[in-house]
Amino acid sequence: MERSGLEFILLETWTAIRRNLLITLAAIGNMTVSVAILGAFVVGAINLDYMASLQAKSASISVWLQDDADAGDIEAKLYGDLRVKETEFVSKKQARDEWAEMMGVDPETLKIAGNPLSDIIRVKVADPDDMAAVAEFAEQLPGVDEVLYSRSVFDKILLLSHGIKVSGVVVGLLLVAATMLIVSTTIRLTIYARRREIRIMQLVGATNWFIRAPLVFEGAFQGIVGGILAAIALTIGYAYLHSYLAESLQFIKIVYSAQFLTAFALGLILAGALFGTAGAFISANRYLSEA
Amino acid sequence: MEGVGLVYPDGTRALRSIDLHIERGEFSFLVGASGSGKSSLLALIYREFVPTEGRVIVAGQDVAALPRRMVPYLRRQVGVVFQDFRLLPDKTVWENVGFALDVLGTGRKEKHHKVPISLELVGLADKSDAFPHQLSGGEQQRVSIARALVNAPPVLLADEPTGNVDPDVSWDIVQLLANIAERDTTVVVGTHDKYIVDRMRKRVVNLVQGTVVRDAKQGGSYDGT
Repeated sequence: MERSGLEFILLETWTAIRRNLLITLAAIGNMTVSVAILGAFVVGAINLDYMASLQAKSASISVWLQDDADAGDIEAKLYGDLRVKETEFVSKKQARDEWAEMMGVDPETLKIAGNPLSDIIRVKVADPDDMAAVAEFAEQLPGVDEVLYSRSVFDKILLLSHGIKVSGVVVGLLLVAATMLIVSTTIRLTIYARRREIRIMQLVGATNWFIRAPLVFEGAFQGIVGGILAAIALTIGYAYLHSYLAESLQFIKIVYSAQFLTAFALGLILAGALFGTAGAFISANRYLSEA
Repeated sequence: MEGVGLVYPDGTRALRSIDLHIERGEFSFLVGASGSGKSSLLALIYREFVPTEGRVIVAGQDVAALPRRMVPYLRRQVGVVFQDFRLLPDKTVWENVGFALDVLGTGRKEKHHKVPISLELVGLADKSDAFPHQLSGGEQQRVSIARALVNAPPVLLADEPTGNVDPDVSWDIVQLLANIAERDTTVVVGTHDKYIVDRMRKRVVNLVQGTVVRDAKQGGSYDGT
C-alpha cells in the first residue's frame, strides 16, 4: 500500500469519527465500562489466586500421629504423593516446645503436666487446590490420628476464586458481546452516512479491503480509546486500593509491581482494540456481502 | 476489449436471449423505453448483476465466472456514468475526480498528473475548486464523466447520462462521449432521448421488454416501438 492510500484511509476514518462524535463518545464510554469491569474481574481472580498461593506457602497440613505409629513410613508415603511439596517431622517434644513458646510459657513448667501432644508431620502442598484431597489422603493412612489444616479460610478463598473466575467468564462474555454490538452499531451508522461514498468506491473498483479499512480503523480507535480510559481508571483505582490495604489491612496482600501494572494496562488496551476491531469487522462484512 | 456477448439474464425477467457484440472503440446507443432492460444490460457489464443464463465477456474475461474478489479489478476497466451523477456533495470537483484514484491507492504524484488531464478532457479545468451544488446539471455530468475516465478504462458505460440535463446541453454531453470513443474507448450509452440518437447516426441497439428488437449498425434512427 502506497503512502497516500493509507493517508486516505486514515483521513476517512477521522472524518467518520468527527461526524458521529456523540455516538462515538457513547461507544467509547461503553467500551471503557465493559473493559474496566472485565479488567476488574481479571485482577480480582489474579489476586485471589495470589492470596491462595501465599496461604499455600505458609499454611500446612498438620498430620497428627498415633503414639505407636511408624512416623518414617507415614512421612515417606506422604512425600511420595506427587501433590506434596515438602514434609517436615515434628517430634512430640518439639511440638510441646513450639506450643509453649507460642503460649509464652516456660517449657519446663509444661513437663510437669506431661505431654498431651503427639508426633506431627507437617505437609505442604504445591497447589492449594489439592489441600483438601491431600488431607483426606493423609487421614486414611494407618497410624494417623487426626489431620488439621485451616480448612475454613482456605476453602473460602478457593471458593471465592473459582466463583470469580466462573462469573467473570460469564459476565465478561456478555459484556464483550454487548460492547461489540454497540461498536458494530456505530460502524453501521458510519456506513449509512457514507453509503454514497461506499457505493462510488465499489463502482470505481476499490477493493473490499480498501472500503473496509476505514471502518475497521474506526472500530479499533473506539476500542483503543476505551481500553486506555479503562486502563487509567483501573490502574488509579488499584493503586489507591493498594495504598489503603498497606495502611489499614496489612494482612491482605495484593499483587503490586510496575511490571504487573504495565502488563495489566496493556492487556486492557489490547482487549479494547480487539473488541472494537471485531465489532467493526462484523458490521463492515455484513454490509459488503449484502451489497 | 474483445467484445460483449450476452445471452439472457434474469430477475423478474429483465433481459431475454440477448446476443450482442460490441467492438473495441465502438460508440453505440442502447435505446428503449423505461423498464426495457437498458440499465440491467449495462449493470451486467460492470457486474452489478450476474446473468442467470449465458455469458458476458468483457475484454476477453467472462464476467459471470469472475470470483467476487476480482470484481474490483473488472470495475477499474469499466467506467460508469449515471443519470443522477453520483457526486459527493462535500467534495470539490477536483476531489470528486481524485476520489476514484484515492480508493485505488494511487500515489499523490500520479493523482496530480491524471486528474487535470481528465478535467481538461471534459472541459472543466477551470471549475476544479467548485462544489457540485455550484454547477449546472451538465457540468455535474461532465464531472462524473471525468471521474469515470480518470483511470483510463477501456470501457465507458453511460446510463441515461442526459436524463437530468437540459436538452441543449444533452447534445454536448453526447458529443463528449463520442469524442471519448474516438480515443479507443468503447462507449455504450443507454438513453431514450430520440432526438440525440437520431442526430448522432451511430450504432443503435433497440431493446424492448428485455430483448433486442433491432440492431442498426450504422446511423440507425430511433425506432419508437
